[in-house]
Amino acid sequence: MKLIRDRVNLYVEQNDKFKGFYLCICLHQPLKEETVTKNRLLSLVLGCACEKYKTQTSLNTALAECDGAQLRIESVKKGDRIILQLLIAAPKGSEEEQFRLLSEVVNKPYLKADDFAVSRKKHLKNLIENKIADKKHYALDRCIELMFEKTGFGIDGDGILGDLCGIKDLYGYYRSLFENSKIDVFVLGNMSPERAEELFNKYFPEMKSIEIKSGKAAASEYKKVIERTEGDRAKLCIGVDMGEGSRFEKMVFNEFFGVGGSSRLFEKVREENGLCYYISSTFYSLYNAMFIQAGIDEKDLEKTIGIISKQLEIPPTEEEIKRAKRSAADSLRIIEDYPTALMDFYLTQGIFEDGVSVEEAIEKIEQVEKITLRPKISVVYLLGGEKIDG
Amino acid sequence: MQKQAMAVVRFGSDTAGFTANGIHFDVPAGTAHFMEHKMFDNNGENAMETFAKLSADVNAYTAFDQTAYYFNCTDNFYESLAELVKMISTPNFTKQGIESERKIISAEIDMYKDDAPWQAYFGLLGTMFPAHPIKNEITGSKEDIEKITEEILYLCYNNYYTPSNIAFIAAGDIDEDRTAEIIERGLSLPKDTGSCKDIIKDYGTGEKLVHKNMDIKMPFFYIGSRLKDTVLTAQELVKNRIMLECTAGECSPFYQELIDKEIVETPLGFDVIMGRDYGAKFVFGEAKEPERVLERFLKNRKGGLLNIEAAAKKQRSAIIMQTESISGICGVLADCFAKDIEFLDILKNYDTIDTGRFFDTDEDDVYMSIVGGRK
Repeated sequence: MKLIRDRVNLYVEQNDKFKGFYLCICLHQPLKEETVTKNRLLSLVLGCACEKYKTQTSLNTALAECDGAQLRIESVKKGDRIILQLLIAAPKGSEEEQFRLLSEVVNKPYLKADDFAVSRKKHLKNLIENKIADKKHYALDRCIELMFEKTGFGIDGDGILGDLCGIKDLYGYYRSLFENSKIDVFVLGNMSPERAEELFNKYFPEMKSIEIKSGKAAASEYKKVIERTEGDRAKLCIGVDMGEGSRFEKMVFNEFFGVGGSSRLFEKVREENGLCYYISSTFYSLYNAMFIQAGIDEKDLEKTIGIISKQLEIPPTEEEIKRAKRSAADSLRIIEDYPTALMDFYLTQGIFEDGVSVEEAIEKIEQVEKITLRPKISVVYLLGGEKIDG
Repeated sequence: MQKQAMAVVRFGSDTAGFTANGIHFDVPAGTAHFMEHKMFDNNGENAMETFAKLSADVNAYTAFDQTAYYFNCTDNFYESLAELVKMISTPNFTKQGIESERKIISAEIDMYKDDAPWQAYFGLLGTMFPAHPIKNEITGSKEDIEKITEEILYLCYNNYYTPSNIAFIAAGDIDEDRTAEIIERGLSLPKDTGSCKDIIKDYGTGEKLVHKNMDIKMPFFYIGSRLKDTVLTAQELVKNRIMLECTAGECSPFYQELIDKEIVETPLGFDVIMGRDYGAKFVFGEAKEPERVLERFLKNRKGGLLNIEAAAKKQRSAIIMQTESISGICGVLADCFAKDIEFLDILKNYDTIDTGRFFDTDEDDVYMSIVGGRK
């Protein structure tokens, strides 16, 4: 991935193996309670229409005619940042038209008219109220909130219900984003960096990035929280503070601990004790935390925590490290085959002061010789059912 | 670079029975999925462990008309392929193994109970196809899996894990000859028995509207209509997909009306399922008052007819973008094998659509399933 630092950070991956062409603009903002809801609302309103295509049908038809292009606008939480991502993707062959269409949406939005904002506010209200429908995801979000309370890392990136009504002048906020955001632009497909830069300058002549800084994630002291909802099976999420050490060492740790069917969690919790159908862990480098997720019977909670705590204390064997390094490096290599995963990798690395390329990350994984981490459970969160058996 | 190999077997949850050598056998619901789990028992070692030692990641899934076993890797492709071939060739069903698997599958069945879209989907299939095995959840119910025994698993293995029912698919930077050689050398399957899956012509008829309570704020719905006397071909699949895009896609008057009247807030999903003895089209999504969606659907179901070419482009783009990844390629090709159609035929049909015949399908029976939200 070539990075051209000019007005913005323009990342270009020229590769003719991709069947599609992808253009994505990412506006980074510090995650704050006062703006998170506006950001989320914007992600819902911007794709409704623009000055040239004033109705949703006309915009959707223009996209369909552009080789069936897909427009995806999302507000994504990454650590203590919220990132507004505007992606257009289509099978290769209509690259410049994709630039043009995205520029219509980004540069000439239809935010002055209130009609869309009103209906999208209702939509956002429903989305926030209905978050719990996806219990697994909800449990993870709650665990993160509890682990990083009162910091940007702990703010709910989906928006705050009470703030919705008071949102006015969405257009003004949108314009201000372009003065105050770090901007990354990604171009992936069969296009040279020079051509990408030329088209970017043609269609986005005024866009300019600023630098913003991220804080350091500090996990809370140990706490156990149980909340209730309808359903038979409880959703468990455990937030583990990974402490000091390099993030690559932590990636290796996570790999043998909770990734895939040969991981310790899978072997010990599911196969040996039959306590769950799914169990896995994910390392979130920006939070310096590993999150373990499982669907269990609430009566097995203490037993499950006991097994997990014990496994966290047992140092990895040489064989475990060897295998984990291989599979962590493999997961990184695979990223290069998936355009959106590749984008996400560089988007995340750009947040670290010592951000690395895919090749450098693989090298760093391969350099891990031993693991001296002291991971510590910070939060046990359980979303239980209404009734407890046994 | 990622490489993937997949073994796809034409045996899924839509098989409720078959005849071999003149004898008829019943197959309990959930058998194909149960077998998928048990094929990971590699004579005492979990296959996940075997593949992990090779730095490969193995997994499997069961669908209506297929079971697919696959691995992903960057290194050790041929060694992993040999393991996949061995895994498919060496079943190890024991009484004890089956007992412990029941516990895990039982937990999986519980997990789906919380899944509103899944519940809405099978609620709909249950009422559209009450007499047909397509109505069964892929996992079967807890009662169904009690009926599964070693004998049943071996019976199905011997009749379905046979050369004419299995295809290997591989994608990535690999040597085709070496890949074929490893498969040929290692594969040891039961001989084809000429078994014939039960063909069930009668769908049965259920309630037009079914509802299941669940504590969710925004109800989830499926609206479906059955395809009758349809022959499964690439052309029929493409035709139905384009028809759905015209009816319920983001450019359709139906969707626009739902948005304008604030009946739905997000784009609708839609899908076509087709097998040898069943076919159906669905529109699904979330709505506070799903019955209002049904009411508008019944008025609009013949489709907008406004821009068929754009609809075809959208659908064609979706399938091309699906093959962007190695796993997407294998998944699409596995589905084509299960349905006995050619992938390129699908693409070709998007380019040569016959617009005149789009809206001929008889759609006089429309069903709806709702999960959540009833007073």
